[in-house]
Amino acid sequence: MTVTINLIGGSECYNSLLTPLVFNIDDIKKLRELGICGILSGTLPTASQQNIFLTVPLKLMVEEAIWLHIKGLAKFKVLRCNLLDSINEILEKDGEQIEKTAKLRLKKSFDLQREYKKEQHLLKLERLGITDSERIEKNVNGNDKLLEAALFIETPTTSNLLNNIHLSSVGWGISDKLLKILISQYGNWDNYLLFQALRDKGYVLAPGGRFGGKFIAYPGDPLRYHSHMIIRDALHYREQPIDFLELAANARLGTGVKKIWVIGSSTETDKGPTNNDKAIVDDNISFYSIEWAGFG
Amino acid sequence: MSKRVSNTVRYKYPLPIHPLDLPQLFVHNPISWAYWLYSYITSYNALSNKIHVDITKHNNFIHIEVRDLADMKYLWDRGFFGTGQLSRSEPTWYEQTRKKFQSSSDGKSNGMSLERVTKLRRKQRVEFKKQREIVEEKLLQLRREGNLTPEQEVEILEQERDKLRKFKDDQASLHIMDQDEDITEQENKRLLLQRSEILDENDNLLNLESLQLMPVETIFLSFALPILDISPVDFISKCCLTDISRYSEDLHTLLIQYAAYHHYRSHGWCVRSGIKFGSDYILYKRGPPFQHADFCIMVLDSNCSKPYTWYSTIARVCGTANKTLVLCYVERLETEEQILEWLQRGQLTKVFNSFKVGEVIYRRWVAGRNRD
Amino acid sequence: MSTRDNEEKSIEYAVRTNLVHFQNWSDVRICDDQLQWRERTIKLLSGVPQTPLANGNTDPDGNPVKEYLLPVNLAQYKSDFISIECLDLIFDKLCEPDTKRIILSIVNDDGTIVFYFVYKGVHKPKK
Repeated sequence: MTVTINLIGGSECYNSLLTPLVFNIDDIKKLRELGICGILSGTLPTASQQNIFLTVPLKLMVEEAIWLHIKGLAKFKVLRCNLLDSINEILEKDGEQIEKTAKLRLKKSFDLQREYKKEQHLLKLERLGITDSERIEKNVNGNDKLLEAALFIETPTTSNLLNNIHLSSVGWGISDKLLKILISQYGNWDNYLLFQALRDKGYVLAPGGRFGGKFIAYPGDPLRYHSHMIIRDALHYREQPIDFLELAANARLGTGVKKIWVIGSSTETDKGPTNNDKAIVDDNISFYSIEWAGFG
Repeated sequence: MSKRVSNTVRYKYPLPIHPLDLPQLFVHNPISWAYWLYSYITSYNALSNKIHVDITKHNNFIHIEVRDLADMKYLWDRGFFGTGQLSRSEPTWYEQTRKKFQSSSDGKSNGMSLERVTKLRRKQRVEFKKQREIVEEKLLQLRREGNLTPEQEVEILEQERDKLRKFKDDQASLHIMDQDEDITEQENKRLLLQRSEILDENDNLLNLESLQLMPVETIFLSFALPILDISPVDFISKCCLTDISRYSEDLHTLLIQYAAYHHYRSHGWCVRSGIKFGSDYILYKRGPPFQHADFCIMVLDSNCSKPYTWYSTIARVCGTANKTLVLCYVERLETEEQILEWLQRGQLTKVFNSFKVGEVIYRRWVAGRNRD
Repeated sequence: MSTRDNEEKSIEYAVRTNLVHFQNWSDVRICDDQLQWRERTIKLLSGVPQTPLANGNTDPDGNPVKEYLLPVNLAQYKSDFISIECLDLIFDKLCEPDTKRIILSIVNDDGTIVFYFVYKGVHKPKK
């Protein structure tokens, strides 16, 4: 019943943060029903500049991925990740076995190819009207060298080794580990708490950068509703004053686009995500919604 | 047209300082020589008396006020300094209220003030929205009943739109005509209280409004163009030096704010508060009566770095108001100790000379929309 | 400075004057309840606007009802410290139990006062 979220990144040549992606269309549908929309981000290699009508993969906000995992609705898999350690571990443990399997597969592939080619060759001779069995025998077996040279070595599109990563760990183990990595990379845990509180109230959230906020919130599916809230990055409950100039700017912006500016913080200060394994947190969040009063 | 001319005359001087007004000199006419000399000797381009300001401090926040009506006008007319506390910007409360009283006594009122026009428009908008809701409701009702063809719907929609448009026009003319609304009891009570507070025992109108100056304006008008009756150094310490030996954050912010303010004033801009746009200043080429401000200024310490959303928010606010956002970075070139020493010795020129201003224009750029 | 003088310079008083003589509100009062917060004592104001404000309640005849206002200072070089904790305290200690919003009244050092609705919790924007 769970959705598979692939985590990409983590190597030095990419941005070092993990990005959650979903490739399966059925999974994407399921997520939409759960109020998790993400953003389609796939383009065709020949049209990489294209920026509308995008397709899979669906890119999720980190908050969405964490929320899904915490609610037990998704599990994580690694996709192209710097997992040298895990790989070494696997090689040490199952290296021989994997090599054997690989060789076996190659041999099997060659055998199948040989069989197929011989078959094709015979059919060809038959079409040419050559029925003399001796001649056939000579023609077919005398070409062994040619045949061997024509065999393909298949380059796999998926990694045998990476498939073994989740095979090698038991059940949710690796997924939980990945959750921890994701959380440890996450900047301000209070932002996640705001996300969770709003999501649990039924709001659908999307990135708010375009509107100068952390998130924007829709009262339901974004295709059906206008967003009417811009959510600011979480404030610290005690130590962080509201910046009145910032407030003035956001209230002015909101008036134009009919959006209210929402600020919030966790009332339980200094409570990090690492308190327990499942990272379930209570929702003691204080929100305020601010807009221009229409006079003054 | 006539208003424009009078504005040009009224706001002839961009700052409260101006060259001597001398008569024309005719080289071949000795009388003009004599008159010129006479004018030269008798003219005086400084104020005879310095302008009095009241400085009050409450909860550690300072308020700088000019209460004399003539002084208020003088500062507004020459460079648009200060804001009327009971007006949108120019201190017009006294004049408005006086007119209101006059008009209610002789039953006539002349001219619409800016405030009244704005209020009127807001009121109209509210009424228009109400009307629109009624129309929408009606349409919804029809749709629910279900026997509407698409053509019929379009037709009805068009009719209702016309009605709405007409309503809007009618309303505008209606309101300018109709000024006395029926007065409720609540309204009567309010007016009574209001009037009781603005008249003295002899029924003379009190001036409740003063012209409030920003701290940077106060420093400018006592340091750069000394026309206020206060010392800029005393003022600065009053603003934020609870402990004169410390270079506090408040002091630093005030100094860089002033450095930026002085920078733009000395380049001929009319600088006013940008609070309405969530920024520090807005720049007018000449002043509010002449045209809109073109620039929003955000004053930042030279090594200040903000999260991306901060820039994008401010830039969007400026963008929607058709203004260009200027990030004004101010750098301090001397040590805190040095600045404090100069400040304590009253050497403000040295203090402000040790700040350097650098500017960056920040603008949102969209590849798909900014081709031309 | 005398007490009376001091009182007339307070931001509560500044907001009151603005409401009575510029915004034309009625029944404007500085509330008695107060809250010690950092360097200042916070007091709310209450009053009735001339016309109903957006999203506001009205009485059965459609007239505007009482609104609460929170005055705060904003200067170019510093401002009042109002955290979310402070807003929680204000709603808890200075407002009637079912108050859904207060009006933040920012008293600027340029002489203007600007007003913003602050709703407790997440709230829809006005129409």
